[in-house]
Amino acid sequence: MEVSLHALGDEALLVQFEKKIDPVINQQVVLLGEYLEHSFSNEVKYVVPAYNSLTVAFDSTKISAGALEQVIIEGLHSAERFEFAERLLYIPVCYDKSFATDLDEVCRQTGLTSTEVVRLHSSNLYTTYMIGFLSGFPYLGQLPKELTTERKSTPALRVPEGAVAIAGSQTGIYPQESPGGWQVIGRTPLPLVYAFDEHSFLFHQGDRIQFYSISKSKFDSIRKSLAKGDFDWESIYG
Amino acid sequence: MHTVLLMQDKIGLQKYGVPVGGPMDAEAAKLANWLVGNKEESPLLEITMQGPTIEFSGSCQIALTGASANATIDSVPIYENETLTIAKSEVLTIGKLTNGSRAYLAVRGDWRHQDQKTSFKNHVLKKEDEITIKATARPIKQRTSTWNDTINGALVVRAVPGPEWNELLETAREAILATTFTLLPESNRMGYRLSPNLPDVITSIISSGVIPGVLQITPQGMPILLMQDGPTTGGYVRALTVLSEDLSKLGQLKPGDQFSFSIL
Repeated sequence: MEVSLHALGDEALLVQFEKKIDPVINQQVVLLGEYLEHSFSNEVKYVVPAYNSLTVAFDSTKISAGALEQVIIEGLHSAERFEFAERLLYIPVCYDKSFATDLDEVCRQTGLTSTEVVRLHSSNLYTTYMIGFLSGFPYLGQLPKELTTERKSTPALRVPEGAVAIAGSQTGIYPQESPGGWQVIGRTPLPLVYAFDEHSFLFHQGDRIQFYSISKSKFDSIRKSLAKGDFDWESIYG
Repeated sequence: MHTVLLMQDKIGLQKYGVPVGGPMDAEAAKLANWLVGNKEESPLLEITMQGPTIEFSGSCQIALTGASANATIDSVPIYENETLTIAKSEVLTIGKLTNGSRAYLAVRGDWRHQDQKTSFKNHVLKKEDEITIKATARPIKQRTSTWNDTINGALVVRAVPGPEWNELLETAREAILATTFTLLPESNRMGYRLSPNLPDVITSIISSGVIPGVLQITPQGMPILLMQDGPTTGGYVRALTVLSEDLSKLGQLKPGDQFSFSIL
């Protein structure tokens, strides 16, 4: 496996994998991160996996950058032996016009009808390439080529929590209300962050995601059962 | 003009996009906790620009570090950088900060159980807020420190080249090292917006990890220095990363303050 190592200051290293967007490279990033977190939990403070890189923040009083580089190189060999435990999640999305505030703009840019946009968006299987921007925000790719859309030149001030949006060749979901520049085409009733600890995130890097279209009344009924606490979480896992 | 409760409990969640969220002046924060005998990364209060008035409902030991807090206990001036003993019902008043923009208040004891988590964001204190700290049974012997991070003269921070340093144009690299940067008013715990812009327009990258101290440059040439509440990933080129010790010094700056980079 070809990687290069770069210093990110005196307390972090960047492990740069081959610079392309590829699910297999992305899985190798996750595996190396998990290996370092588990086997060097004293020395490694945290990791940030991304598309094709891993940032490793370390405690410089416990390990030197040079020793960590050796650990990483050995870790790459160990990580190669592990199988990536892929998860498949089925995520309900309501593409109703009341939620899909930028659907008309997406149709204008792509030359597709609303029905075609929804069909293309919900028939594709996505990879969670990265979590970033906001706590729990998944970067999902690749969007079908026909759906390639420019992001907004001026970001919207308030994108609602649960908004499903597209930009460039990616799609994502806003975990909380926030300003945002992606084009909103629907909304999921599911919370992406359900408490405030390490077990609270719906998406993990490497997850495969399949969207399916639901009606406004189904959206409301899922919201109700989530509020009552009787939503069947098992139903989203494939 | 605010005080933030830093629980310092977010390390490890960065793979889910949660900001590091630590103290802007980590050295001063560590010292405050050391002075009261707490673990280095215990919760504490970060006071920015102007201090609050705090009434203590029980006796305890506290310490103030960082920028000069011009503090009093029941109107009597107190010293910073040493352990102070507070009696029940005493009132601590922290004034306008000088010699920096952030001060730290540590209180000996266990802060954990008062944490009702409703967000990954650090809690900004409001008037009438109460914080419950379980006092530790035994007070420690008073400690003192002569440590002082007042910045005298021009601040030069040490940095190492970032992953994209060599991809920058020569003129951009020269400009970064030759420029005295000024913090713009929109600077905060997330990041410092710096002036002036750099001359050359450069490309972006496939989104990758960033940490506090990374100097990003947008394709329009705008320099952004990421701080403690900054994002965990970004698509702008990473020109430099400030050394952790010097990042603490930057944490004391306020809009209008100036500094420059030196490269190792």
